[in-house]
Amino acid sequence: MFKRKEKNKRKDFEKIYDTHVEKIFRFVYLKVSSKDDAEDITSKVFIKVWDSLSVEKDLSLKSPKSFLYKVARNLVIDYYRKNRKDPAKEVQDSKTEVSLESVVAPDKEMRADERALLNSEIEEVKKALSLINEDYQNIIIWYYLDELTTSEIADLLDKPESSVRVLIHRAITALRKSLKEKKKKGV
Amino acid sequence: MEKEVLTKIYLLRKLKPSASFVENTKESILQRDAVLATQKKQSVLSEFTGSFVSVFANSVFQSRMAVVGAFMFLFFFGILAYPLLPLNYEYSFVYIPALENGVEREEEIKMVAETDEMMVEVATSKKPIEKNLAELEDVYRNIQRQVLGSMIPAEEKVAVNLTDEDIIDYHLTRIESNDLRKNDERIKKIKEAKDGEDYGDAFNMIVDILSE
Repeated sequence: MFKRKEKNKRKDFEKIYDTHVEKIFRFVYLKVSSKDDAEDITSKVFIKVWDSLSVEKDLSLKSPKSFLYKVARNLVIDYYRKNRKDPAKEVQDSKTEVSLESVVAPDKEMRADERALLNSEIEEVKKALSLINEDYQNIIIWYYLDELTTSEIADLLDKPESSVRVLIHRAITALRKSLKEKKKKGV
Repeated sequence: MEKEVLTKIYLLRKLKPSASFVENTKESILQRDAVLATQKKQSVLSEFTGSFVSVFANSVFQSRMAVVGAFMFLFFFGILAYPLLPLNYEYSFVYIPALENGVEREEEIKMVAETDEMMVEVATSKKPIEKNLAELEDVYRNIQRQVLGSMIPAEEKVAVNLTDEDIIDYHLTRIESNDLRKNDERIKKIKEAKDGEDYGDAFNMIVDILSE
């Protein structure tokens, strides 16, 4: 009985982990400056998933996505609270700290110059994203990158779906503006 | 413009954790329960060991305390008992000749006690002196008995354990067979003392005669 339960737990965890680990890592990494910190927080998120699977009411099983993002978001808040850092400033100052080469998935066919260009573009978007409202950041990540439905986002933000649709539109406008401003500053 | 923004957003999809991180994290979390169980066991074990060490240390400490306590008890008991214990012996050795010389007992005891400061307090009070006198008489009688008994040759011993009467009879016979002593008036008194079971007096008189 116990072994069967244990086996199911492992199976459930592996399913959740394999499906979401990349998304959670990316969500966290876009909010913190360091790859190590992102990995650390990602690990903690999945430890919480594992621990929650031990509890009878498996919160993580009912709605894994919602559970994972809520935990990740709280851990990022804790990270900034403990380090007493400003999230936007942290990401802005992260140029020297972050090595995108180690984060961007390696592509064998990609030349070094192409890779450098890609890294630069990614860094530009990351910094532009960090400058906008936190809800907008989350919405862009969830809706465009992680492909959450408006219903799931509504659940995460505890807002009606109609409001989420409006927020998606506002978020993309805000990012566009932020990118434009960064470009102007760059020129 | 929106397309351009979306293209840039989609670039972020290329951000991925390293394969080693993904694998190692997964494995370490899957092993988490086993690790926690081991840690718990170690914690329980160390707690047990800790408490065992603590109990052991306590018992060692307590036994040390017991030893220290015993030493302290013996030390203080020794200090308190010292004035009483040797005092009896002092009396016995000095008092016996004093008694024989007819010196008053209490005065003699005080004099002896003055040789040691700690003994003075005990010796000057009435009760210990009276008690010591009684004890001294017993000691004196025993010494006399041993001395008189040891004077009897083995071949003339009527029994392995001689009684007071046996000792008195042997010495009375020896005294009566001696021409110089056979008319001593004290022979009669010795006999009377023996008949009245006052063996101490009989011993005294025998010692007096033999020491002349």
